[in-house]
Amino acid sequence: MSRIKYLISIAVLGCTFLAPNAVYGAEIKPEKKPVQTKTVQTVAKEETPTSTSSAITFEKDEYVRITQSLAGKEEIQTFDSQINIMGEARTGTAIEIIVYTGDKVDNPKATDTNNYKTYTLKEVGATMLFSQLIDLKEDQNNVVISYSYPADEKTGKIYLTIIRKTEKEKEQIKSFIVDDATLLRSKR
Amino acid sequence: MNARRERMKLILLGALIIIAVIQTGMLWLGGMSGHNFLKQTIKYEPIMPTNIWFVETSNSNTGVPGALAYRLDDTTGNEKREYERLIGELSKLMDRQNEEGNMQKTDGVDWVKLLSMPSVIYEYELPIDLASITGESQNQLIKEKIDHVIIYSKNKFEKEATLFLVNSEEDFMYELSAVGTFDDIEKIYKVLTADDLKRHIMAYQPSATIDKVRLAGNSFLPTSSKEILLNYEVLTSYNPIDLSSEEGYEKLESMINGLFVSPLVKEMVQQDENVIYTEDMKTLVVYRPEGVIEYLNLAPRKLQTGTSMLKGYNVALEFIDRVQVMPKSIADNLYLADVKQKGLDFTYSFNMMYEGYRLQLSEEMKANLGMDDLVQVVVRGTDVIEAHFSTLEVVPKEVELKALSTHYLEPIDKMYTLFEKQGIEDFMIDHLELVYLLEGIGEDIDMTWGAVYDHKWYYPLIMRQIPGF
Repeated sequence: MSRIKYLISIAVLGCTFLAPNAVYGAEIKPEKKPVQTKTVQTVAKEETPTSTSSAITFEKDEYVRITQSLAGKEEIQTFDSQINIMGEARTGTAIEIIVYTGDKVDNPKATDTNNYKTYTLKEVGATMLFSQLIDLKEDQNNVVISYSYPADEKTGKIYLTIIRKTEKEKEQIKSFIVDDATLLRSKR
Repeated sequence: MNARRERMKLILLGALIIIAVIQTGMLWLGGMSGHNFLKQTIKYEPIMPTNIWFVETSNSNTGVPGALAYRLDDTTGNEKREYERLIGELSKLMDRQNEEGNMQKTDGVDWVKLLSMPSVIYEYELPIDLASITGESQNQLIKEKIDHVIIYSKNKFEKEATLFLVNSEEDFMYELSAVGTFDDIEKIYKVLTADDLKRHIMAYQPSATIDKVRLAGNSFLPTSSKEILLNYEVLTSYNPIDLSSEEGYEKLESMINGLFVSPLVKEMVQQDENVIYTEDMKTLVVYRPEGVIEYLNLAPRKLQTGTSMLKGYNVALEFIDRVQVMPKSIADNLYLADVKQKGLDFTYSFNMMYEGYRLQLSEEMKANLGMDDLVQVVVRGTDVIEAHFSTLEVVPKEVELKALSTHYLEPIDKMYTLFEKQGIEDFMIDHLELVYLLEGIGEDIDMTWGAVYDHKWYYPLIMRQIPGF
């Protein structure tokens, strides 16, 4: 009898050791991660510019340049409600941007229907950059960028035409997008 | 007969006990990572990003991508909940990667590529470890620190996305693709880029998409097609503790009582202009009339193991919340400005934001207060051993709105001119943003452009603020 008791106690104790954590919950210590001995300071890094930050230069007759994305395009088409007109100009250039809707005219003036808007930019500074966000109405937006450089008494105009696609056209295109995962879906 | 019965009972009992122990063991440990059968991994409060941006790329035929971004903070409503949801989405994404994990590291951050598709960008104040970003202490995905998390998706998060973990200071990034749904991100993206909302909130141009601008990395620059960039509330500040009256002392005591174990037994001593409170062998609190409360824990526990940035951060947050030294209006708007580690101690510095714009202290103010930030908490293990609080309250100055119409190129122009004069060529501004500038107690706090160069803040529109020139 006592031997059985003895055996049973051994068995119970044995199990206690086999699954010890079940009996007395020991706290799990998180894995030791490599301890940061280096001070976590914001590193003062030598700034080496990756872009060509050399000065902007202009040829003798060049005064204003519009950014790559907008220049040299007959007609810009977009779905966006706003677009950024950006470019480079000589320091001291005064720039004014006029936007009007409808057909292009030679001497645009404000009328009731052409949403005529003028953006007068601050004089181009030391960075030789200019930038202006403009609103676009649906359909045709005619943009006239007029600049003047007093030092050389030079003035000029750059013309852009931006077509903003209508909401309807946007929806139409959306509904034709074919899902490449499941070709059976024709509408989103 | 009896003896047999006894034996049977004993055996049965023994067997039942053994089975119970084994079963409990299996239940407890089976499938779980540890003994926390209540939670899978220990979740802490993650360090929140300073900003969350949603970038919409232009849909035009110009060939060169342009982008405009919108900030979550600029929307009204329950922003904190959105932050938490978005962090949750991010954590889930990283969890999935933990198992599949194959991240590709690239040297050099290609911002133009990162901004070429619809994306959500989590911007952090300084590089922090992944555990601090997700709030999960076991996050082992990568060892390095990150200051930007970018998730972009060609089809606006409907099916797939690519995750980038970027460190813009050390200039490297990790990339990995993920397939699946990102409901929360998709929904918020749609809301933020919907036309009717866009008309009412600020648009930001990512500087990395502007050719030849002298900004390193990427800063989101507020821009507008309107003449006025924004109308902002003018703020003012005051120190609510006026020691010339009895109420002043009462106010001070009400603010510091939370720092003591038993506030009733604290003793007060006036030393010159400072007021010193002590709790025998436990706590020391000094109030300086410039408007600073300093706390020192005289009996911190001896530390055995180190803590982590995430856990220390949680200790700091819990401390600030518990002691209630700061007025709610400031405590609710604190953001983590810096983390420094010295030995086993982590120092967390906090500053304040008002309506999503940083409140910056001018150099003069910092010197006056003797502090660089509004709150500083030093954590060792699970204890706070030291803390500094500014007692300043910042409130809107009645109902005064002011207009700011300075284009972002202006401060850049000014910085450029100044540096040119100094003969520093090819310099790059690290960061540019609109901030509130606190120059003196009781003075108007206006918004101005702040530029970071070489880890120092400059305010180019206010020339006298520029040190070293």
